[in-house]
Amino acid sequence: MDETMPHEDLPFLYQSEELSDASRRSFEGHLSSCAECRAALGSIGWAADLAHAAAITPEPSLARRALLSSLGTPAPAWSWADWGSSAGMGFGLAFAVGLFLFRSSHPATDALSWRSGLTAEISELSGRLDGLDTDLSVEAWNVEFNDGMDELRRGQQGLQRQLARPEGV
Amino acid sequence: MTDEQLACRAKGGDHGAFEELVRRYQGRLLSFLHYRAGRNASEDVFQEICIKWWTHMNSYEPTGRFAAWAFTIARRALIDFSEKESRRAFLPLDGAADTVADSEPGPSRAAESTETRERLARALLELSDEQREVFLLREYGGLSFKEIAAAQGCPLNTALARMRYALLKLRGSLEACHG
Repeated sequence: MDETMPHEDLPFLYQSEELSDASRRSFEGHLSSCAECRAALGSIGWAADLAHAAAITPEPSLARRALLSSLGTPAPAWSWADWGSSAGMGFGLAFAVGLFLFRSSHPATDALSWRSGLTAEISELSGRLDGLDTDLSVEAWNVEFNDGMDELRRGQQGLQRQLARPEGV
Repeated sequence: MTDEQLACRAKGGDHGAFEELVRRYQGRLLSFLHYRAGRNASEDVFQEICIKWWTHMNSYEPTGRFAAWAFTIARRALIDFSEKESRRAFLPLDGAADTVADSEPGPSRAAESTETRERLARALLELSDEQREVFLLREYGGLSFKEIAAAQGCPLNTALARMRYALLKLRGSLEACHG
């Protein structure tokens, strides 16, 4: 029998199957000579029967409502660490696919040909952007705006002159 | 399939496994809550606990028993609930003995079990909170005394002593009631 446990606790540990094999066998041998332990086991059985008889039966809708509430909340397995590693894997995969597509559109006949082609494209784009920048400069826009205003003013003056001329002249 | 196998599946996001666990545990959980917090509170807390089970499934370790994990969460949720309610003068077991009578009207067998529930609810009122909790965790949660001691944060001997006194008092009050 388990010498470290008080005698009165052994029936509880026996009933809950928490005794070692050796302690269990020893306790079973002890039972025949101990009325106190037999009474304790009887009391434990009585309590279990009582609890069983007094158990509450849930209404069917209770579990259904609880499941609706709980399964409507975010899934359990997604911790931040999981999210981080999944996001990392996603980005990695996207990068690999992007690189593959880019290399496919620039065949590697010459290991550096795609790079020199890219440099030429960048230079050409840069030149076009410079031209666009000049065309869209504030000075150029101002000149064009002032020309338009002068023309409008001239038209207005001509109209005023016609209106000021006496009738029948 | 064992509870632990279902819990592992639920941990991986399997709704069906989680539903099965809730179905298996609903009676035990509701009985625990009913005698711990009263009928009305038990239905509110029942839902909260199911949500906590689902949202905390990733904290379940497959090496442990699902019942111990589930009832440890239930116990904590109930403590949180009681603390919130105490600001509104909540008393543990408030109404458990009074409202149980109308929970199952009908034939004589139902009336008999209703009477048993009432008697148990009243007898449980005479126990300390800790004794009552040990009794309910053992009888409805199915927890071992080691698991109960871990949940209550006390030595194994203390949990056993609480159960021993709980049974003595329950037997005393229920037999006195019978005459």
